[in-house]
Amino acid sequence: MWLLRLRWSLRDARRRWLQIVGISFTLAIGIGLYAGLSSVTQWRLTSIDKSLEVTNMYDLRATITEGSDVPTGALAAIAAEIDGVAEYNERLVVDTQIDAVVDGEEVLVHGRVVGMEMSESGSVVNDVFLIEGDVLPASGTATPQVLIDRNFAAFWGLPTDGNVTVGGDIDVEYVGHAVSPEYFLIVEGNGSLGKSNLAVLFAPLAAAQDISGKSGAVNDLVLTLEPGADAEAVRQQLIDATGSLDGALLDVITRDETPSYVGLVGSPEIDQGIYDAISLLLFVGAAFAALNFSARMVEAQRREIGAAMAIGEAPRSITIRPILIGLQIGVLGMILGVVVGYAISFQTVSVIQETVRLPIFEQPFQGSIYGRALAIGFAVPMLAVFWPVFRAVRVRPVDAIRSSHLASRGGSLGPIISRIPLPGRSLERMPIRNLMRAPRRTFLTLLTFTMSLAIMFAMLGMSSTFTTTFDEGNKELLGAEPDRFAVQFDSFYPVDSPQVQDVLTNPMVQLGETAIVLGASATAAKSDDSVDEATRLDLAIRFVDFGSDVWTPTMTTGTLSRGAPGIVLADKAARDFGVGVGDDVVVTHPALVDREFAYSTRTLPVTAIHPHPLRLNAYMDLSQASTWGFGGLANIVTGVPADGTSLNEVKRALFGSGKGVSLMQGLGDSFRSVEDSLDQSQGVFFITRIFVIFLVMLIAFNTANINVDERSRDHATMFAYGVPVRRVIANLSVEGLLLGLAAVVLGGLFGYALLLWMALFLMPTAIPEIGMIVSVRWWEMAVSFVLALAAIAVAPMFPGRKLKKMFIPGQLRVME
Amino acid sequence: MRSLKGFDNAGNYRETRATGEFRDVIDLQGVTKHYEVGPVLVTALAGIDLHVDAGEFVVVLGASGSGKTTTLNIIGALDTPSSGKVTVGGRDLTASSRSELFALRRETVSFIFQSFNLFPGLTATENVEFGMDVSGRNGSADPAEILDSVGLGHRLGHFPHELSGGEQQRVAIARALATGNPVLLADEPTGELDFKTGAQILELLAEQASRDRAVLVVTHNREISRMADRVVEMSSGNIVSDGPPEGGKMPLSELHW
Repeated sequence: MWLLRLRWSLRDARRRWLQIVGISFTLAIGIGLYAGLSSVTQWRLTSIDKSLEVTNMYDLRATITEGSDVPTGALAAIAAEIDGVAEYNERLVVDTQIDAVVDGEEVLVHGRVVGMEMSESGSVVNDVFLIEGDVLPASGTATPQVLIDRNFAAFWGLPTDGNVTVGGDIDVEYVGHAVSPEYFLIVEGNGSLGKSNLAVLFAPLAAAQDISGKSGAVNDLVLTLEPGADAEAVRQQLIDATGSLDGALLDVITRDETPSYVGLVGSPEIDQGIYDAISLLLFVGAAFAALNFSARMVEAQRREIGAAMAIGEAPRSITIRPILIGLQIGVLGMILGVVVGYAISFQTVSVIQETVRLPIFEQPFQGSIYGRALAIGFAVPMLAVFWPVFRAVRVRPVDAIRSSHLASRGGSLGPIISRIPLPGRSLERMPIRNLMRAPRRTFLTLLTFTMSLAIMFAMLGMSSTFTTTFDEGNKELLGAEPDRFAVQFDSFYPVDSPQVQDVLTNPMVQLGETAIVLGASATAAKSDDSVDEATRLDLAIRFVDFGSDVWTPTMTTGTLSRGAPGIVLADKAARDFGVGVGDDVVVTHPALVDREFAYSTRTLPVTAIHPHPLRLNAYMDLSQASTWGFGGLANIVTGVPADGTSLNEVKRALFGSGKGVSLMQGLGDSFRSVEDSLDQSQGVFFITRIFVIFLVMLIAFNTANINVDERSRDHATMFAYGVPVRRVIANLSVEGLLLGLAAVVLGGLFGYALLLWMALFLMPTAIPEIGMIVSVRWWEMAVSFVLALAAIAVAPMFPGRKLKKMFIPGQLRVME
Repeated sequence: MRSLKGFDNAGNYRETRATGEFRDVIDLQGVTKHYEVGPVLVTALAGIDLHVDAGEFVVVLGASGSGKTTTLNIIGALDTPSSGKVTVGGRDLTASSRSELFALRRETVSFIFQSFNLFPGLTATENVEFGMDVSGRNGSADPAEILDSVGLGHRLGHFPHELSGGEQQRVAIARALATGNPVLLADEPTGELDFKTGAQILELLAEQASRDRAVLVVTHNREISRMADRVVEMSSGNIVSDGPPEGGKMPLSELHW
């Protein structure tokens, strides 16, 4: 019996292969998107762990205050005395400027030379992992040899070996591309440096000292802890050892406080939150579509089921054939689901690897994830066939075999909804009537379109939200000057010092202004004068002249009061602190007391809120710098290039002056690292959109195809009455369009809700430093929706050939 | 060709009677139809001649496989003959293009099917409106009046599944009448109905012939043929007899099946 049923169902499959493949593919996209994206997260987490292990990332990093250094061995000596330290490395980390030529185009970016003891067996802590090229020679060479960071090299398409110029005049040869754990993901300079504008060179300590002109000096210590060691105790011992460092301050951070590490390990799980939302919606949508289509396919066999009942076949046996159809769809859906899943995984991985350069990236088959997705994918068509079969075998055989007026109807909303009066002629009413006639089917189809379009809306919205957030931020910092730049000095200099004056009076610089930037942290002040530690945030406080004609921050609330104490916070910071204008925040900041740095805490009123999306950005009036001991000093000069001068020319001129300039970059780069890292999200969104559009087309195609099959008698009757084929197709298109339009409205609403959830709840967890400005580019949305609607409207043309070739008498059942 | 403006609300074909145009509404000459079923060539029509005038009520009688439905399909331009000439409403179907055949179905012939084939999503009134819409007669008659003329004035807003079989068939007839076309083709119109209901349907069809339409009813029920003006009996693709019913035309009240 099974063999006969199998043969029979295979014949069914051959006859309806297009529908079976279509339904299976719909299911496969749901399975694939869910399993594919989830697999990527597992791959990332596993690969991150292995990459960190193989490069032995530090547990603690101690850095000497910018601009200072100590003799080689001084930091190692401190580490050697501390209990609980397992391994350590002294390093020299020097910020500089790097000039590379890519395809004849000059790339002048912020650079960093990282020098450490290297051997062929690698560094002990924070190893440099060679991706391609040669290992560095053990002994020195005439031209210093280094390895260049893979992120930067890949972004600019640098060859495996070549030359770059460091600090304006030192020619350095790089012999390979490498990565190191701090730079798997580039998050530097408070977000202003990313893979595109930070070039890291890894060099043996001696070579780094030569290149940077700091012979015999180190300024950085990385160390790992013994198992069970107390990181906080070791950190305190390191800070306490500062006294032996001749006035230099030691800033100690743990691995968990390293921005790149936080981004590296935090982003996969946050991304998974987005993936889960996307793939779950799409999976549910695809599952509903498959459920709907499969059920309709089986319902078409209702008369055959009735006939089988009439000749006495047991209901259990009758179910075999429809179950086999479900089985075919399920199995094909699973096979295609794995294929689609891997296609999505590999596309997504290639996008992720553009942003996160891990030395090890493993992609094992994620059995449990695929198992889950495939089980649901398999269950959906099986459930779908059970329902109509269950219904069919419950009716009396005599009813089941009747196709006409006596056939069982069942109760539904259809007759009630169908009574709604409609305008137009009968042919024009037909599409709406057809939709009203079967509300359950219409609802399921609408649901699948809605979910797909909601995802598309949310993806497009996220893209435009990112872009708008960055654009608005840059607009705020740049004002009317797109080339506005900031020159950062390696220390604090009097404003009348040669270092500052050389920049201010440089003929290539105009509208120059001095400022002070200090890293600080703050908390919201409570009414009982205590602080709310849970709200502690990092701030970059910039002292600028609030009376400047060149640039002052824009205010959303409050006013800039020149000469008055008070702080201007970013809108996102104010929200996170839970403060507004007039409230207080308690700021912990470095202060200069008797020419020595010390940390100080003071309460400041919030005088205004500015709209820049970067939470870190805070402002105070330049006059208040004196209260922190920085009166008359500057560590930043902002300006714009003089007329006829390019930003690169200014960069080269100022950095080459050799007078304390440590960083020189356009202010438009304030989001660079975030923009770079969000490339991957944009990439995933793009891939998802492609699959969503494909899914919409597939659902539209399946709907049209099944409609044509189900309504063959209606269509034959219309043809018998002389209605042209094109009119029938037009009616089917209108029916699809009506569904599509409803889906656009509902999809737009759900999509907007999804966008708000992602932008205002999910993203703030992933990137709390940025206040997302939710934005929708309506024209882009409109174009996408019109394309989706066009796909839905065009879909009935595919089975149009079937309509044209229809043998009308056969469908009318008038043939003898 | 659109000389069909003279229909009144009940669908009477007045203009044709007045002008004499298309008196010979159906003319088949030497029509054959062969089907290839696998390697076998099946002859459905072996070369038939048939001529039907307006106002005639013709029953095509035959057993299953005799070729009667094929004849109906060819007359209705649903199928094409393998050879021979078919003229319906003055138009040579064998020389007509696909779009002309569609136009013929809109303007000249109307079908009534054994299984009604009403549009399930449209109400009785809307199904009738459909007939008017496709034939371009929209607004020229009131669908409610047409439905009333077939005894369904009280079921206007009902959907097909809310109607009995006889009522559905009457809606189907109303839909066909609403087109105002001069040829009515009915394929086993009583096949799914009980005697009483079937008799009512036949009465309605006979009435259409009296209004100068050519009405062709295909059936295997010999009893039905007794109420026709003319009975064309077919067997194995041939017309074996063509004339008044045996024993003369009988009133509906004397029929039983």
